[in-house]
Amino acid sequence: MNRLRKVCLVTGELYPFTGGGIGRLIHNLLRHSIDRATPVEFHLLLPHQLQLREEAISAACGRKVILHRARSLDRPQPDIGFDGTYPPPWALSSTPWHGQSMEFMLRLKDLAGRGTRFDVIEFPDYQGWAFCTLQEKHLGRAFLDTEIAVRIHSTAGIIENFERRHLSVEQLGGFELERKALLDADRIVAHLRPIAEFNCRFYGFPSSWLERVSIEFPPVVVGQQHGAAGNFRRQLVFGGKIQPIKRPDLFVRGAALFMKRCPDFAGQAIFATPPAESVYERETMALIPKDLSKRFVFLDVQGAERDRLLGESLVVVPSDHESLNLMVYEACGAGGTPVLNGTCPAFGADTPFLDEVNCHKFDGSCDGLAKALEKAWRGKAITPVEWKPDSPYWESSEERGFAPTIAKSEPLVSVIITNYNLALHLPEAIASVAASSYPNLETIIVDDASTAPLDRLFLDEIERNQAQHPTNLRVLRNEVNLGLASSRNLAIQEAKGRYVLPLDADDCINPGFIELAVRALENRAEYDIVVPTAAYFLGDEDIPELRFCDYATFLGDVPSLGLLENRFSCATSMMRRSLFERFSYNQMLSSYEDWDLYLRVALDGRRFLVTNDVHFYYRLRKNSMVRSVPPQRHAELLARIYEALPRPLPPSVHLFGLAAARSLPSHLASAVTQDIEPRPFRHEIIDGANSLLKLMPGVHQVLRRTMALTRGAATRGKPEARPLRHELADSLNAALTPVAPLKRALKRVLLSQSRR
Amino acid sequence: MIEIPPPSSPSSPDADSSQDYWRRMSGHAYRQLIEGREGSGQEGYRRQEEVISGLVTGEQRRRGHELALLEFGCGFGRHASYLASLEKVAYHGYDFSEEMVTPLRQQPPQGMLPLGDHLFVGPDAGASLGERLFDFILTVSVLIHNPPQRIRPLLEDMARLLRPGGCICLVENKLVPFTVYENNWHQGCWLHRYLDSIGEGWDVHVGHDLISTHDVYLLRPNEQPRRRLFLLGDLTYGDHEPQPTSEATLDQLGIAKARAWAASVEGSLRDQPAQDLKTIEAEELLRAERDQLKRRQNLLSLAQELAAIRAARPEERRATSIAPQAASAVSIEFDAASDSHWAHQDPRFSRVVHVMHQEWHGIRAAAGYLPGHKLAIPANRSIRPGEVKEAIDRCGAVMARTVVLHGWSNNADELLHLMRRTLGPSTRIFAIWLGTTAQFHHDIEQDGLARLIDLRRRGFLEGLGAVKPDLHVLSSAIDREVILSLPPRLSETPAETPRGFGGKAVIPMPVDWRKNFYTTLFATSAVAEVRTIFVTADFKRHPEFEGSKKAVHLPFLDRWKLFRLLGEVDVALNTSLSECQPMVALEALAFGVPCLTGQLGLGDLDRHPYQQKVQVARVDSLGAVRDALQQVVDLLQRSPAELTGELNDYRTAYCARGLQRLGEFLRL
Repeated sequence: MNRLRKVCLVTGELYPFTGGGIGRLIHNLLRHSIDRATPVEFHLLLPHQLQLREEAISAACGRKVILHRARSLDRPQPDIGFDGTYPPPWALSSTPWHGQSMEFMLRLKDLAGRGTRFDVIEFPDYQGWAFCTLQEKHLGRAFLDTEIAVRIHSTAGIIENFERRHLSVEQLGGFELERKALLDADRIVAHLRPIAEFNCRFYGFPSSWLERVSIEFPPVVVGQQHGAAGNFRRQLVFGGKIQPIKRPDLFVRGAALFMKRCPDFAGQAIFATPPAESVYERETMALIPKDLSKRFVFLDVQGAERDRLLGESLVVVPSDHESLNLMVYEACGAGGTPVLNGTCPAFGADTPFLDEVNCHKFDGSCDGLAKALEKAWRGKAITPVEWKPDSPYWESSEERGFAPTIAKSEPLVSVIITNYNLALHLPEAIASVAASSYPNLETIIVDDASTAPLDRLFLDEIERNQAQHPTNLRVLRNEVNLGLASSRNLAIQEAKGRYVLPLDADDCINPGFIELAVRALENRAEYDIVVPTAAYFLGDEDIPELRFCDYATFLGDVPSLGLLENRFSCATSMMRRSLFERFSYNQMLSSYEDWDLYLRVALDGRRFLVTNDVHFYYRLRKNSMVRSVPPQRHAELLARIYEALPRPLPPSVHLFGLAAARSLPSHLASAVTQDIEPRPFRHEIIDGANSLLKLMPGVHQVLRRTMALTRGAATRGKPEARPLRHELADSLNAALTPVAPLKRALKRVLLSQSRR
Repeated sequence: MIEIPPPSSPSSPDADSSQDYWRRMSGHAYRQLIEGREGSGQEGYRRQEEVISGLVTGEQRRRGHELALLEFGCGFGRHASYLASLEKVAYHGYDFSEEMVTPLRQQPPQGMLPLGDHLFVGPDAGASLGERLFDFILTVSVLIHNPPQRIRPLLEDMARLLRPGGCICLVENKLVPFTVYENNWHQGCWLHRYLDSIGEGWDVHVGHDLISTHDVYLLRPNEQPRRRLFLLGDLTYGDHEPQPTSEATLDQLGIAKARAWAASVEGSLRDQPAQDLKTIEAEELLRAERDQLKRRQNLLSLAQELAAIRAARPEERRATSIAPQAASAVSIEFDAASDSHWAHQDPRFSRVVHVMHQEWHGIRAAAGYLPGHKLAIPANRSIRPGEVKEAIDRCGAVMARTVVLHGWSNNADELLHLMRRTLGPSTRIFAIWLGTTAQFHHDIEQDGLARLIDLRRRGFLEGLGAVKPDLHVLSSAIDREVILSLPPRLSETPAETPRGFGGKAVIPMPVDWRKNFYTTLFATSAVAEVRTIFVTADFKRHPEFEGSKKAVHLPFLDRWKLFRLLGEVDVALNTSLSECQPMVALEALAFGVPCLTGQLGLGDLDRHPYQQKVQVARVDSLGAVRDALQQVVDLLQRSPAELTGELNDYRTAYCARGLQRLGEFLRL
């Protein structure tokens, strides 16, 4: 290789300016490459919040590193198209990381526009920041001769899988963003083969994904001579953070057991980390036996002192999951003796660690750890772990062809406009199709037995017009109302295009979308659907002025989040017609038929691309809100969808997302059109009576207990859905209903009483 | 050998303008033009590709290793598209115009990746390509666009880029015996006699008539101090001995093309004025887009036709035109002077917005006197999106937490739904209905209330109130307790001192039977002390009914005039047959003028002595109204202080009660 290559690393951390393992590794990679004087020009792209100086970084790395910072999108920036062309960050899907990803993409595009073309742009897997940049590339809109790589450091999704912290829709959105970034990347960089395989299994990727993974052992330590064998073994050291995935609990228990079994060991158990003052830390410290409490200490030291501590200790890493763990390599270099959880993929087979050669492994149990510690302490000295950094992929000029080729043909696209009494807006929908830059179109209007006079008039007119000026437009008229799902299915059967685009009669499509989507699907056979980002408009003049009152943004194929929210796509998307040889809209559903279809398609492993900028316009009508689904109906529809899903669910689906439904954002929970039952009068009365009774606590208690006993066995043990007194009132009401005059009289009396 | 220099008339294109032309020409547009030509049956292009592929693969086989190919003047990549996919051929493109290569840069063929190593653009080929050398350098219709003096330097440039053993392949104009300016296409085309520019040290193989439109010139260094000429028989020329030829033979072969050129020039000389070739070219570009446009236009005109049908149907009131409209003026009114001048002040209502309709004057006045912000929207035409946005923006600007709708319309319904969506669930929405069931024969009254009840049941409305008592009998969705409309708040309180009776009455009512105008008029005139009756209605006067003589007709009174009149009269009458809370009575109350009304049923206030004096039990009875008025007139004459005192006390109590009730209803 002789050409100067330009590499841009996107990172939110950088040693020694910030903490974090990602920053440490980026620093090592830069130093390693620079030390060997490779002809690579390094650029760093940082999030807008991170303020670092280019000179300071260049000084720390020993050579000039060019610094770029993403721009915050909190306010419109017309020069980079952020003025209505792109949705604002607050509108972006379920996770704030989506907005950050957008900020990085726009900055990179801005750089490309100014002539900076990178050979490689590398993102961390954490927070899925590569998502928007990858969509832009795969859609053929930018970064065509740039390889977009994602390096596996450990995703938040994997960490959360081991920790099960605060389940929320937001977290699930982040999980899917990270998954999509890994799935769509041109190249994935993993440091160890077992880690790549773990990610493949965890996310349910097809095995072909592994073909895009480069296994590169990184420079885990720079500027340190390894092999300084000390083997004093005076202390036990736990070097990780106090968080569940690092298993400090296992360290405490194992160390305590070891101390009891080996009373002649006089050393301490040291947490070489600053105390976190967290609830979890308190829980962990509570596990320390009273008599040993003095021997468990926190000792946060840095630099040479830390090296000395690690060098004279048994360094315990009980983690369930690590993607590499730089600390162990540091400890080995300093002469320490590692005691490692052999079930953790970073320490198992196919890693530099060999049991009883350069480390001691245990089986993940407490007893196993105590035994391993004893063996490590009493046994003979081990040899230092051996490793050699691979030369990074960006140094080789081998190019993997991922850029699109020229679309040689312009295959037919079938636009399917479904109409039911919405003809009022049909002219705008048709005009938006007519304005499309893509020439080879057929339009099929399916009318689902509209009853409005205007609709019938329009359809007659269209048919009459067709007789005179034939265009590629056809009208299908259902004789009776079949519903949206059936109408779309019918039209798709009639469609001749290689691609289909469903469009509702009151919505509009961006004139560039069809061309963009066809080109992407023609060039990228691995994708089946191109999803437009959607904006809501009120009046027709809003579209040219990019004046939108809301947005709907999507992530494409998101099989886990998709069980909870439709973040797949709006009803309009560009789909391969061949999909409908296997799938069709479910005619049993009166709403969510598009959600259901996308869910089944995604579960089948089909992949979606999503446009970053707005390409679809959704008309906000008075009725479109009235039509929105009330919570009860929402639950019923979802139940119906779930029941019909294919079993078993594919490995890409993580059901923990369903638990996040509890923490749905409040604006979803309190939908505008929520059905609120008026409070029955009988409940008002009994509530009044109840508050009176409460003034006499004894009586209230007795009554309550009596009532509970009279409840049927069927209801016992079930969560108490409504107060007992309401049940009582309801049963009284039911008893009185056959005796209408008595009921009326009673109600009159009670009403007059309650008025006072 | 004859050499005809290119015409040198002032209008003739020169080298610079030709270069400029190509630098500015968009590659996308040119591609469309070429594709148009291909589509319109120019077989030549297909044959050209066949020949070029044949030459390249032949050369590759001859060399036996991967062929480094440079297309000199690659343009939008017409040849790149197939050459880059040939086996063992490494395609490279060079062009001096960035504009022309844009399509290629945007959609490069697989074989050109990474682009940085395969595509070179810049004014100088040597500088752009650096140290790179090539086995096969190809030009296709490049030199024909360059004037004769440029040919030798260009060929020298190419020769410098050639690897040992490589060759230059020109696919350019057909053989001609002399160089000539051919036509104005693309700012100038020439027919070059290339032999003029090729010196010693070259073998030149000429492929004549391999392609109908072009000839092929293959230039190969022979490392000898002489130039050799050969005729290229067929594509696999390497397989057999090249056939030597002479300059004279080649010139002879070129005569055919020269003849054709002469004929075409003759034609253009005859057909004066010559058709502007630029126009022809533009027409061709247009034709290329025509098919695509026609389809679009058909659809578009259909859409426009439908829009026209829609616009012609007045019942589709909310239709929006497809043609871009001139931005229509926004005519919603926020805190208009007439809506806030007489409003009560109360800090609790600072984040309340009252929404009412511009055309419904009575309701607008009533809402206008309430404390809080006012938003007046149109009722008789559909509200425009711009107005909705403006309305929501204004509500956002005052940080509205509570929105109160007075009356119902489609416009209001749409607006409130969008407000709920935009301002979020923390904005609470209430409605007050200002009608009576007596008006239910008007569908709009009945439908409006039904819609409000529906919205209340579904939780969209936090509360639904009415100014007519006992409407909760109709539906439990309506608040049990009545809302009180407030009298206007005057900046100067009227004189506390009683002013007696000056003989002037006012009946500011329209002529309709619900308002009971005639009964009121004749009952009023029956009171002897009343000398003048101001009326606003134009009514029928029969001389037989003498009471009408006292009436003085005033033209339509706006609020300012009405208030001035109220400052002058002694008594007002609004004894209508059915009423909620008549605004005239409240306005009179503000001015300290007693006003007779029917029985309103306002709860506790009904028991107030003032209320008892001015409420008439049987409003349809001339006698009852007359007697009630007589009593008031008597009292005003006998003891004006008593009535004025009672009236002032009633006003104070009424306002306090009204504000308290409204605050309760809105849960402030």
